[in-house]
Amino acid sequence: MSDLDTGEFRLRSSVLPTLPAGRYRAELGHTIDGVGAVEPVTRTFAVVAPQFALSATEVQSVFPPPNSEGSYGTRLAQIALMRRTLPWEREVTPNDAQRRPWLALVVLTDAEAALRPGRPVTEAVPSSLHAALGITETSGTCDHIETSPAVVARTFPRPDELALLCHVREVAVGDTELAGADADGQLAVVLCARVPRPLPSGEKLVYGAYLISLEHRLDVLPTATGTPVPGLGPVQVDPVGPKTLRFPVLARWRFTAAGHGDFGSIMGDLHVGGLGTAPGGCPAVAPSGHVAIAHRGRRGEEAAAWYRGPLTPREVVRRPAGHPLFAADQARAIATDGLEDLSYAAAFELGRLLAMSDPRFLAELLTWRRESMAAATVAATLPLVPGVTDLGIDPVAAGQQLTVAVLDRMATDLDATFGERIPRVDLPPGFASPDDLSDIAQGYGLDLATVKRIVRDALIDVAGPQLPPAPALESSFATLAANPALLGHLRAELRRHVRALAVTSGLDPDTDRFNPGFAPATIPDLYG
Amino acid sequence: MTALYSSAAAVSTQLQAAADTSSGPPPPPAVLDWLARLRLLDGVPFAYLVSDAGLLPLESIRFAFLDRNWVDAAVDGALAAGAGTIRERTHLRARHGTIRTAVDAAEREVWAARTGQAWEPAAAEVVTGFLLRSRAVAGWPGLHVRAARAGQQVRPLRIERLAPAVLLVLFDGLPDEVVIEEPRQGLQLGFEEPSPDRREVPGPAGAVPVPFRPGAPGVVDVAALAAALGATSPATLAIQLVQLPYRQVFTGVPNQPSFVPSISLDDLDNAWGAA
Repeated sequence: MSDLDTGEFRLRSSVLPTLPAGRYRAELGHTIDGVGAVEPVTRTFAVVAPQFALSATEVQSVFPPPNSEGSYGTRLAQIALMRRTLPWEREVTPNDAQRRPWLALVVLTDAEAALRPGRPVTEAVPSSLHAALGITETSGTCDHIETSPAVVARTFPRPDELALLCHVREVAVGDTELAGADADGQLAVVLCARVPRPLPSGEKLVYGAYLISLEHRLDVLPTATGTPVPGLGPVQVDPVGPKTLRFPVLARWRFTAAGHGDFGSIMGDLHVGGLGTAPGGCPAVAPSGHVAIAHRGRRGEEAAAWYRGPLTPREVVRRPAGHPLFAADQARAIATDGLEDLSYAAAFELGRLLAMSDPRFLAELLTWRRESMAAATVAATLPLVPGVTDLGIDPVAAGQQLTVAVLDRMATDLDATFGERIPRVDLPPGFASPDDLSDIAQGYGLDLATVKRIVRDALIDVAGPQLPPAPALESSFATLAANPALLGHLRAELRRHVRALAVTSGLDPDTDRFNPGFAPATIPDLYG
Repeated sequence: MTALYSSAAAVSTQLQAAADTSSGPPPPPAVLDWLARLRLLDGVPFAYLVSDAGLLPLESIRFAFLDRNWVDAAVDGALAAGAGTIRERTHLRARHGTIRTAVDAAEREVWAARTGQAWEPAAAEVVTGFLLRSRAVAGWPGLHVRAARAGQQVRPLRIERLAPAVLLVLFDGLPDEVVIEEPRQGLQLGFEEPSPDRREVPGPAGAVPVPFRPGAPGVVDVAALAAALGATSPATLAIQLVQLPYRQVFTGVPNQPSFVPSISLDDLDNAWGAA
């Protein structure tokens, strides 16, 4: 765990692994005085490290931001790697006494380098190095870039610069998303010395940033690049000769260098205002922040309505609690200009839909409501039992006992328990005031007296006209056989069906074939 | 026993009254937390926040108040789910004030729980915030956002990217200063730009011009730069190139570097001790 405080960071020049990656042989010899040497024990082992590819989780961050566009002419491109020893785990040249890093970050235009993704490793590395790097036909694939010796000579780091372009950065991670994921907070950072700029004409220029492997490739790097000059000179994107050099790519991203766009200038160029500030006056915003939106009413009519989201340009006074909405329509309002204001109705409906779409929340809410209502019932009924509150007994257990007793009493004496019949419309106290009733009557186009009668006292007559009692069906086959006259109904019905079938089939129902005389008259006639 | 229940008719009256009292347990924390998140516009579709694209143009920042009535209506909608009968609605009406107070408190816990900071219990009052739609949000993930009123910190209730380039921030109060700062974890190295063709590194003994390779497309001669800066190691070179995070302040206060690095690097002593 890092000993740094929030906001502190620490830089280290390098963090060397004890052993670079490779195959090793350990030999253990032992000599005992007076006995001589014991036969030595030999073991081989391999130290592994990323070689041609890097998992995306190994990259903590990159700069410039991937796929971004901006002015990066004053910042060095960099990649921060989660594994602090990674740049030193392999060797840029065999048995390098200076332990220089084997990774370099290069920033190249598409004219300077071509990316070849997912090609065999054998293609990415010169065949002369295959044996030394342990590459065979089965080594799999990797990305690589193809570039020309001229580009390498101009833009790649010199051997004496390799080490200066890598360092290890230790940051306090307690207040970042890295907390817990990376315990030591140490990141290896690889820099690119090239300043990415747009074209001299001001035209944007796309760059690819490539983290490349230079394992055993020290000899291709430029050794002398001339006496340094104080100016950058123009950006060169001219043809650069045949692309004959290839380098494996472990990580890559692209960005666009444009005129201006570093963080400071982006923030400085922001259009600042309160919500509802609309440059150019589109859309039209009311001073309150409402916007007129297209709205289709319940009857299908197209109209406009006011809507304002939860973010407003002015402070809105909060309504007191205690008057919850139970339906979106309660929140519909008419603005002074006659248009509807749907803001709060939309909010209500959204909240309801979000709740309905979350089964877990819904289950919790309904469980609470059930338990809360039950608890309230117990709390309200317990004092009815004389002395029960003084007994110090568990209210819940008492409530259960009470329930059993009440049920028992209900069963034995219904009238005394339930008293008078309650009205069918069971409105809570204060629900319907006389004003409400006149509103209801007006709204539905009903007579106020009728509404009062329905709501207040009258039982609503749900019974329609009396239906004649159905005839009793108490015959058996034996009875029918004994008295064929009882089959009269059946025969008449059968005849009607037969005639109807004949008509629908296009036949004349008044022929002999459909004569009622042919209809079976007895049970044996019917069933043979 | 029967004597106890002689007033059984009163029991049914009392059952009705039971729904009308606000006694009983408050909603469980999971429900309160869900409602608090809804209050902070969690899950609210973007079209509900910004009903017209013209309200939040490209490269703009829009400061706003949170309309408590709007989010209260949304909470009412969530609570009304499954409350169909009159008795359920009476029950809910009786508890409306209690629930609102509890959600007010839970509102402040949402962000406190994420940052692990203690929060003195009090009802959230006026809530403000802003929507930022900019390349800065997309290109610099993890922006630091702070607000203050009369020098006292105004705490955030929510800082979230709604889309790759849209940041929503809500504050617990009305700030008079809002600060948006480049992410610190992505510490960058670079130079000053005195003119388009020159770069400099400011130092205690004056600015040092950055040397470039001749004939190369803007490639720094790193070894020559290290020599010019007197840097003896990669770490001493890097520390001199550190660029402080940019800080945008939305008040009249001029922009200024947000923090000064305190160096705890042994081999820097040689480089800077001599200066």
